[in-house]
Amino acid sequence: MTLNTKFFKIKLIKEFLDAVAHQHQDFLDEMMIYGTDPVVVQRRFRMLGQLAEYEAQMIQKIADFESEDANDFSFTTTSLRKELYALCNRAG
Amino acid sequence: MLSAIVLDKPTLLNYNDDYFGKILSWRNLKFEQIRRLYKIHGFDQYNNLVDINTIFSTTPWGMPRDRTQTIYSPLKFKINRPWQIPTIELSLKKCIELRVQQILSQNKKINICWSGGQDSTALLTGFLKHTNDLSQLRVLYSPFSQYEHPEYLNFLKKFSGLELVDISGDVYLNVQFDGIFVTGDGGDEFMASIDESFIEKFGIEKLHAPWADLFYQHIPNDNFIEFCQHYFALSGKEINTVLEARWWFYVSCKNQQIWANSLEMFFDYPNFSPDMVIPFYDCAEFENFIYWNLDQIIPGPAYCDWKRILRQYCYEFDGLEDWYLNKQKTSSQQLVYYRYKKIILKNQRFIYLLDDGTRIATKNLPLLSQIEFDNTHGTTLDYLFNDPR
Repeated sequence: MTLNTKFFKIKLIKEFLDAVAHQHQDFLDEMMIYGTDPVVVQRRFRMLGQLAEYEAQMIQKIADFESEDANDFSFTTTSLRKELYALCNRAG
Repeated sequence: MLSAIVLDKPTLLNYNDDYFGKILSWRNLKFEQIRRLYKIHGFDQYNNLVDINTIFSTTPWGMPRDRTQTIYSPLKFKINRPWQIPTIELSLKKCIELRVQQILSQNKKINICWSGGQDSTALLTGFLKHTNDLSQLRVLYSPFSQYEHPEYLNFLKKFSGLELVDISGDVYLNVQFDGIFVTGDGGDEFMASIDESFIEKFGIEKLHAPWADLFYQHIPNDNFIEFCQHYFALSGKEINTVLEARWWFYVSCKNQQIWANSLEMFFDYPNFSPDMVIPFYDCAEFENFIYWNLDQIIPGPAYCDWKRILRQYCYEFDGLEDWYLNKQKTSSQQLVYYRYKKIILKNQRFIYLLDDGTRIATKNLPLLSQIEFDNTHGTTLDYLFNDPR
């Protein structure tokens, strides 16, 4: 029996986009809270751009990804979350 | 037992631990993950080194890479400088001077990665003291460097001809600097890598207690203690205290991996090679100093006494008293995050980095499947693994 990878792929991209949307909203909120600080506003604009770049990159990769092993998809969710956290870290 | 090196093939400089467990499973190697470390069945001596690491650190990571080349390791790592027992003694001033002159003699532009911490400030001081033509130097810093050492940037501005570049914003992503890069890597490991979590857990006085007691508390196994005695003897020094054992373990097993991580920042450079990043303290000169002066690692009873000798070296040159008296170790995380971001945004993710600079990747990282890995690399990388015995 072949594995229905389409199901896992859709699940993965849904989880990924949810997490990205959450980060987008956080950046937007912070831009409003720190609206009087031009440095923070500029940084958040830059980070929003970077997040969008990453999002586009990953959507393409998820679309291209092929595997017959369901574990590959569950593993991927964790590593994507880690990457997203690193990318959106305020210290950098 | 010396692991056989295949001479015509490059060995391993670094691996990405996000994928490492997966690769081990694909190779049918039984393993046990302890935090971010792996114990691998069939490599008992190597597993003992992992045990030592878990005693010394609450958050251990990265595989031990044995510089004495006596431990049979699961992977064929490149060892930059196999361990040799130092035979001459140098003072701190002399060893820094020699190291600076050695790097200057390459006649290339020197980019100094200054984080504001103790290691990078001491090496920068060394360069300022011993460089005739300051235009050969370029100091790369970030807002966190100023946060760690607030007065130092103004001090640096007094030197005409010295190029200062803030790499925050998009600079670290898009600008390619010429020349070589000098980092403070090795400073922690050669100074026993005393992390605050260890001090909080045991207190400073534990550093001067016998190592065997501490080890036996964690792992009550006589074979393990015997292994440690044999391994510590390879240092050529009498190892009695926890501090001495720590120093030896970090010098012999852990000093290469942070430098290997620093390399990741430069994957997109057209002439990328591991030689372009120089870990300042990972050198025979500094070893010739610290080997004979382990009492200088932490001469006082407080955590901020750690590396005081490096701060003193800086203070004698710059006279900035507040930093000298009060500075203590903090992890400079900002550059780490720059590195992560650059790897992600420039799509430079990797599974392995080899010592000829080859980056092993597949097109869909971080979505990695065995089929994809096999299609790209087949069995060509099997030689990097040793078989369990």
